[in-house]
Amino acid sequence: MRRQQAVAAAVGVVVSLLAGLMILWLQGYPAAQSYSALFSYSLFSQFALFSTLNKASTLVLTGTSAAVGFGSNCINLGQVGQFLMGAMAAAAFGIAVGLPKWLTLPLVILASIVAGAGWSLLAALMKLKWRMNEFITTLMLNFVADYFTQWLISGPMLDPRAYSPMTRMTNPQAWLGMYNGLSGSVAVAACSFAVTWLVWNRSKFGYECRVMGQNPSFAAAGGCAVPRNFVLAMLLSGALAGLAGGLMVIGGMQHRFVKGIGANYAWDGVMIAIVAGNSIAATGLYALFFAVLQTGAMGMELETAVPSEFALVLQAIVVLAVVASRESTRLFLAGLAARIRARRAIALGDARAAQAAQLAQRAEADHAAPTGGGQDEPRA
Amino acid sequence: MRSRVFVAFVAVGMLLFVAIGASAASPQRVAYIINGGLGDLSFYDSGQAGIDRIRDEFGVQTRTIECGFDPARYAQALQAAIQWNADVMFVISYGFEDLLQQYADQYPNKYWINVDTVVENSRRTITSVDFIEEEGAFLAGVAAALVTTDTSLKGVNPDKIIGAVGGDDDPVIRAFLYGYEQGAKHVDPEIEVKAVFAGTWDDPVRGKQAAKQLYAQGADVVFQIASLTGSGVLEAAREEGKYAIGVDSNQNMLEPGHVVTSCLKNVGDAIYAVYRTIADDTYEPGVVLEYGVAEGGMGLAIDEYTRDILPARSLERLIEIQDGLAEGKITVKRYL
Amino acid sequence: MSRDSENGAPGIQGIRMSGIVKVYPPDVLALDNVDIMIRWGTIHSIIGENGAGKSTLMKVLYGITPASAGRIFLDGRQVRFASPRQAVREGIGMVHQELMLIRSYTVWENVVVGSEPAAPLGTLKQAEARARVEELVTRWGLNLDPDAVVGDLSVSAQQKVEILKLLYRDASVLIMDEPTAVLTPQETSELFARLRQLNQAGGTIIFISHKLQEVLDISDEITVMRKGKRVMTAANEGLSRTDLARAMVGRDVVFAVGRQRSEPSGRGGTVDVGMKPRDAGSPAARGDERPHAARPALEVRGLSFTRPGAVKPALSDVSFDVSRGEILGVAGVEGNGQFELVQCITGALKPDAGSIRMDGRDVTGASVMERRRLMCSVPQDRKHTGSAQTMSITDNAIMAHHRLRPSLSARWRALLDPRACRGFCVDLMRRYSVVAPGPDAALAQLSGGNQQKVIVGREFSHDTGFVLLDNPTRGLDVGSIEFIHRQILNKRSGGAGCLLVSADLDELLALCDRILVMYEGRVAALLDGETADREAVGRAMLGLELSPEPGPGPGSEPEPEAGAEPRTEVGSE
Repeated sequence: MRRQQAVAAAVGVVVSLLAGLMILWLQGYPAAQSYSALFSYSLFSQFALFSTLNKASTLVLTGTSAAVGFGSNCINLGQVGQFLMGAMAAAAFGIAVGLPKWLTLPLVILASIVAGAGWSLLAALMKLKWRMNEFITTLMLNFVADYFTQWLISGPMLDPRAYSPMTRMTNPQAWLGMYNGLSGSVAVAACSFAVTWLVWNRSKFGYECRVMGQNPSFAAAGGCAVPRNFVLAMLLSGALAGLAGGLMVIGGMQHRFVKGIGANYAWDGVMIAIVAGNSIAATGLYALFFAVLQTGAMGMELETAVPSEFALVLQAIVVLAVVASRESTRLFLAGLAARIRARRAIALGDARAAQAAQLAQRAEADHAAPTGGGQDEPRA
Repeated sequence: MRSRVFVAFVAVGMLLFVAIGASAASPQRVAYIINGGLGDLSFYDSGQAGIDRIRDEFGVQTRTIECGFDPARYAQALQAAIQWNADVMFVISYGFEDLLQQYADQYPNKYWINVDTVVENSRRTITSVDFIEEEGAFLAGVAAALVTTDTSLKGVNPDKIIGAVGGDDDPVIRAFLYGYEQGAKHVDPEIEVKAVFAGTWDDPVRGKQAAKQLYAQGADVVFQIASLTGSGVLEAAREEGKYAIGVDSNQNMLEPGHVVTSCLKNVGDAIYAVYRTIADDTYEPGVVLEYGVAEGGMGLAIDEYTRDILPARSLERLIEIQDGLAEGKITVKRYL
Repeated sequence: MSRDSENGAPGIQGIRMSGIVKVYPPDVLALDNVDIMIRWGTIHSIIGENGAGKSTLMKVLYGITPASAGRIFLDGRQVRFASPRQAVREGIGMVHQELMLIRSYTVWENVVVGSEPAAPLGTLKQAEARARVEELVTRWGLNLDPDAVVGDLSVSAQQKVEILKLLYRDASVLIMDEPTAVLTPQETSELFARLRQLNQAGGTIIFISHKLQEVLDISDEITVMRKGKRVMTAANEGLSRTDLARAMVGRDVVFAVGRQRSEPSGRGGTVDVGMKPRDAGSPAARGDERPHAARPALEVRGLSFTRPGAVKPALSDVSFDVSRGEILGVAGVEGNGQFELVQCITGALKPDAGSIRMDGRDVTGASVMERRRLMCSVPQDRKHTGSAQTMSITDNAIMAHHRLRPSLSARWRALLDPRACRGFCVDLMRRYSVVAPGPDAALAQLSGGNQQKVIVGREFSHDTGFVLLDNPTRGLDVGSIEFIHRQILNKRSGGAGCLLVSADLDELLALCDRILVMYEGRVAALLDGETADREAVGRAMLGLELSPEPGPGPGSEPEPEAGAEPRTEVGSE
């Protein structure tokens, strides 16, 4: 089962990379060179590898946020808003709090988690209280968060010395720091990824969520507190997205809430969760893969002038190919097995079938009362 | 024995490295790193024109790295340019000024030219190209005033109201508005200026909405200061039968009969000029180069489209004021 | 209706399927070289356990699924049906287990739809079509109003509409796929009468079932299938249930497993108080009569529930007890409150009034998980509420145990111990002889019977005094049914009180100590399991009380066919 999924994923990735190669070739770009640039700018140097990991740290968090949500049947599409609120909370606390680093840093991280979770809690409560579909409310809350943070950074929290909307830089106590270009957020993301995996795959709560994601009625009949788990899953999902936002401010190099900070991380996360089939482990792998594509795209643009939007095309193809191949590999393998089995059955039963047909025909010809098929009668 | 070979090897390598670093005198690769995206027919495209000219005249390799307003790509763009081995970086650094400082400090042997704002790093290696937006905007304000006070023009109402649509509410746009208002008041102190910030640089729909809002409030002419967002402003002018003023590049031909003039910010010319100093070795790192009307960095695009709209009398007045500004007879107050 | 044999050779008159192989991907051999001959004008039954291939065989014949190999002949002429439409053109029609009718259309519209008179449905043609439907109804005595809206009809009436549809299309071969699964005994005999009538007029009927008695009642010829193979075809003369069952299962099956009583403690006073137990003295007083089991496993008192927006209550004033060591059956036509009763007991619904006590403790307001400490529950809908099909067997097996069974917890109580869970599942699979690739296989890979064994095993592994069984053997094969019945009886002899809700009267009569019959949300009758017979239960199910004389019920009780009967949802198996 799991091996089949891995095969499907590998097939999907290879197929999409080949399709990308084809597109490049048709467009008249040096395809091989473009691909080598794609990977050398994302993997084959320390900085490249580290930038890929930095990017992956964010994608892992938004991806697991979506996977946890979708996997437990809460359609949380509010990663955008939760991300922004998390980032804003980190920025606000980072600017306001000037305690020693060992105290400030956890506090700021916690603030971003709480902000993200709080933003998703709104949607969860609206679902429980007024049966409003969380898929609508989370989407709408994205807009609220977007405009709210934009107002903050171009109004009350605007850095007076900045040329574009952004907050002031946070206190250095709230910086995770860079180590040779590797952001400290990679470590935080890795830890939260591990915790999420443990909760999801090993805890009772995670088990109930997974059941809820597959069949909520079964979970309810089995005594799982479905409404409570729903809220908790929403909170976890929101917290992860909020943390992703917070790390953009705490980690990284800019240490402030810059306009457009969310970029497309949230939707990429949704996409990753879909490709990964809501499996946490697979989400981690695809986050890395997408980070490679996104990081390498710029190198491709530089070396062979392939527009960096090509990475988006490639991502989309990967999503389609993997999701499609997941189903089609299964069907293909199943169909193949079926054909082999049928052939074997026919071969084995050939003689017997012929005999049976003969018997039946003779019986019919004799116009006799129908009798047993003969050779296969159960012996009492 | 082996270790000595290794030391020698490393030494040679380091020498080579230094030699390569020192040989920055004849640049081979030029990168144009922009926070936004090309295709705005305005600001970024104006800069690209300069880059293309450098490529054609000096035979160097050029590359443009677009960040598409995605903060996640800022650091990566700078890093990619380094990795590509660019010698000269022209950077439009809105939103990542601090990153630019860090990179310039980290790679002092590169030419770092920051365009449109002033960024200073601790090693003082960044040269900033600063445009005196107030002067260009002043002229745009004059042009707008000449339109709104002339009720003989088609579609102009008696209200002395002019508008402006900005991208973000940021200091550069504020500077534009500051000069715009001065220019309008220079013609007629009673003129009222209304400004709207679209909050985005790449959404023509929002620009259009903002402009229509201003036209509805009685503005006859709207000055767009919003890159791609502003193309919506020009469209709105056509749809409403009103007037608009373009920005950065000559946009007069985009909506003939409705774009009175364009407030040129000759980013491309400035980039080209700076590169020439690098080529003939007169480049000075760490300075702020100011480009105003006198330097040819700012100006108005006055062409047949303008002449089709403005009567000769107004046109004369406009050119007169432009000349006055260039000669220093008229001074514009700077924002901040 | 009759089919004349065009060519003189009498030996090959009929449908012959030869060497049919069907493999469902990946490698489920559903049909293994099946040869079958169905003569014109006979009622030919095909029986077999679930998964024996009888439905698949008919789907191949009807052109729904293509065979992997094999040929089909009509009167010796090879045919190939790529779709049911082609089969219908050859006069073969099929009534599916799930009825495929448009509920908002009238009877005649449903019959006509899809084969309207050639011209666009003008008024004249409409009248013509309607007249033809009416004519068919009278000719075959189907007792249907052509203008009734199908959604208002009972299931048996809807089934007749399906048959009518085929008659309208001049079908001479009717394939009936488990038509009796959703019918009461009375409705079943009515259906059989119609089928015989059609048969006498020359029609050929292929009747699929796994109910042995029915097959013996109606068939001319019987084919038994087992594991994708045809094991026997015989004329219905001198055959017994035991013969058929042996052929189906491949070994002897003990019928009536439940008849031997385990002499449950203290059943004495409960039968007569069943109808109005509240009047039967205080529980304490009755407790004195039953020295061994101080408290009944389940006490339900005055339970009432009305669905929001509904006019008629789904449950009104339902009261009964389930003693320890007793199996109380609940019978009733679907939709008469059994569903709501079960939901109230599991905690999925909150009753409007009344109380529920388990083992003496009031659980009326308790959560599902709190109840799970006192009860276990085998749900009716295996796929919907009983399991998560896409998850592993282990994940399905540990539900509720994951909270209640400390041995499954890791050292840190919030976590599960994966090895312990797997071990628990392996043990369960062994004890309940689940045939599966392994504990990590997805539940969906298992056959229905094995899935149900996992579910029953999971629930019965809870050591609780009260066991709720909602149609635990629905859609299962004889072997699995027998297995599960044995488990239920084991539970009873272990001292648990069981509430068995079932649509299968044979099951109730075989297992139950008492049978409670529900009608329109009320307890219509409480019968002794030993003395009750199908007739009595069936009459109570139809709300005819226990009046000795058949015919119109007492007062204004509606006739089952009249359409006023509570609608029965036809669940997908």
